[in-house]
Amino acid sequence: MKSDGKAEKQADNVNEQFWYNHPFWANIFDWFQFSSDEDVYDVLHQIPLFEHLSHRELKTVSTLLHEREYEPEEFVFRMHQPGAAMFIVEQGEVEVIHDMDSEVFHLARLKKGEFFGELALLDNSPRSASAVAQKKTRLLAIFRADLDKLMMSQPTIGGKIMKQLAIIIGMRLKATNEQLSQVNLEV
Amino acid sequence: MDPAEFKKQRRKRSIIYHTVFSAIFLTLGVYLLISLQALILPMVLGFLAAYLCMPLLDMLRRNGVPKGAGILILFLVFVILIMFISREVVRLIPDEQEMLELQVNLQYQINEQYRAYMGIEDLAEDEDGNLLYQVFGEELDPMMSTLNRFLMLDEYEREQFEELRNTYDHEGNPIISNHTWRHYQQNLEELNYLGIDEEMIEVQDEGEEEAEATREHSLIAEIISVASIWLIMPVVFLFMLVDDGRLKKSLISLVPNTYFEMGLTALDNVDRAIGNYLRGTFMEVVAVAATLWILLVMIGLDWGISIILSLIAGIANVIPFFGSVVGLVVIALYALMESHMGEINPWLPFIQADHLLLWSVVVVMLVQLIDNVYFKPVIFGSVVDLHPLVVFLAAIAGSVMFGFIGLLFAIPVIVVLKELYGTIHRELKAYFLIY
Repeated sequence: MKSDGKAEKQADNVNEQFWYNHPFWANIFDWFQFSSDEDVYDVLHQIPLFEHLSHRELKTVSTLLHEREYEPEEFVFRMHQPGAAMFIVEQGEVEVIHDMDSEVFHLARLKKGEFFGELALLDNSPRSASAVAQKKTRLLAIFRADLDKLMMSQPTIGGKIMKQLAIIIGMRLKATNEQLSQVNLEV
Repeated sequence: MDPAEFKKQRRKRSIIYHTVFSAIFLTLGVYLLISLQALILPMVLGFLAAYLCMPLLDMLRRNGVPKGAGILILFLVFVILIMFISREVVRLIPDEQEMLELQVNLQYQINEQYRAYMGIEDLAEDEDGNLLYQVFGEELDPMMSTLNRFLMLDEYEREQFEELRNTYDHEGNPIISNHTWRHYQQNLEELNYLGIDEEMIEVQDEGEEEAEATREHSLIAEIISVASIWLIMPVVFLFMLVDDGRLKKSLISLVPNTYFEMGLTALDNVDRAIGNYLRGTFMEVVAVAATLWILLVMIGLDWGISIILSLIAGIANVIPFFGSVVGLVVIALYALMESHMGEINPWLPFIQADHLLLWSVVVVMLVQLIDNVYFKPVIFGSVVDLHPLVVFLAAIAGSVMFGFIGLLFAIPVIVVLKELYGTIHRELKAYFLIY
C-alpha cells in the first residue's frame, strides 16, 4: 500500500512537471485534450477497422471523430432512418435491436471498443436495426462525408480503412450465410 | 426523489438553461455583429480565402507535403499576395497634384464628349444640336450642370492648382502641363455658360481649408486604423487552415443527440453549397476579368492598366445588378481619359481614339452578355438557382441593413439559407422527425 502511494505521488510529480497538466491550466486549455486523446487511441487500436493504421494515421482519424454522450435508454439511431455515421463504444453499453410488428428482437449487446452502423460509411441507405444505450454511454462517431474527404486527401489511410471495412462486411456475410444454412437444416 | 419526478425536473431545468443561454448568446451575437461591423469584412474575406485554399491544401497533402508545410506555403502565398495588392492599390492612388489634374481633365473630357454626342459645336452659340439633344437636351442639361458643379475645383483647390501652375520642374517646365491648364480655363468658361455661380462652390466648401489642414494627419491615422483592422484577415486565414475540423466539431457538439446525424448531413450540405458557390464565383471573376482584359487590349487600352480595370470590374461583377455598373463607370472613365491622350494602339484598325468611350461601353456590355448567357449557366449550373426578384430584393435588403458588406454578401447568405432550409426540411422528414 505504501509503495503504491509513493508511486502515485511520483506520477503526480511527473504530471505536474508539465505546466499544462496542472489542474488550473488543464481546466483552461481543456480543448487540447492531452489525456483524452490517448484514451481515444486506445479505443481506436482495439477496433478491427483501424487495426492496420499506424499511431500517426490513427491521430489523423481521431481528428474526424465526434464524441457523443447518451443517457440510458436513449436511442442512438432508429431503424429505417438514413445512416450517416458509424459509432464506436468508448464507454458504456449499446443494445442493437430489430423491432418488427411490435415484436423486439435483441440482436447484439456492444461494449467498449465495439462498433456498429458501419454500413453508413458506404451509403445513406436506411438503418436495418435500432441502437439504444443501456447505461450512460459515450460513443465516438465517424461521419461518412468526413471519411470520403479523408480518402481524397489521404488515400493511403482511406484505402486501409475501406479494405478493412470490406473484410469485416465479408466476414459478417459469411456468418449470416452459415446461420441461414443452419436454420434451413433445422427446418 | 421519485425517478420520474427527478427526470421531469431535470428536463425542466435543461429547457430553462438552454433558453436563457441561447437568449444571452443571441443578444450578445447581434450586439457584437453591429458594434464590430468594421471587422466583419476582413474576417469574412480571411474565412473565404481559407475556404478556397482548403482543396489546395488537400492537393498538397496528397502529393506528400506535410500539413504544417502546406499551411506555411499557403500562408506565405496569401501574405505575399495581400502585400502585392496593397502596394499596387497604394501606387494607384493619385497624389494631391495628380488628383487635381485628374479632376480638371475628367471634367473637360465629360463636357467635350457630351457636346460631341449632342452635336453642339460652340459653347457661346445658342445651338439646337442634333436630334438627340433636341429630344433629351432639356433633361440632360441640368444633369450636366450638377455634374460640373460636383467636379469643379473649389476655391482652395483652385488656389492650389494655380500655385502649382506657377511652379516649375528641374527642366524649367510648369508642373501643370499646358493642355491641362487650357482644360482648366475651359472648365471655368463652362461653369459660366451653365450659369453656375462660382460663389456657390465657395460657400458649399467653406471650412474645407480647415479640413485640409488636418487632412494629412487624419489620413495617416486612418491608414493605421484600417491596416490594424485588416491585420485580422491573415490571422483568420491561418486559424481556419490550422483548425482541422475543430470548429465544425464544436458546432455539432451543440446539436442534441436526436438531431446528430441530421445535423452532420445538413452541415455537410451547407459546406458543399458554400464551397460550390465560392469556387463558382472565383471562376466567374477570373473568366469575366480575362475576357474583359482581352477585349480592352483589342480596342487599344494599355494592357497593364487593363489588367487592373478588368480585375476591378470582375470582382465588382459579384455584386448583383450594381456591380456591373461599377465596372462600367470605372472603365468608361479611364477610356475617357485615354481618348483625350489620343495615343491608342488598337488591334482592330477601325477603332479611333475619339470613339474609345463608346467602344469601352460596348466591350463592357458584351462581356455582361457573355457572362449572363455563357459563364454563369456553365459555371454555376443550378448551384444558385434563385429568382431574379429574390436576388434583387436580397441585394437591396443587404445594402440597407449592412451597407456595402450587406450588398456584397447578400447572395451567398441567401444561398446558404436556402440550402440550410432545404436540407434541414429534407433530413427532418427522412429521420421521421416531422411529417
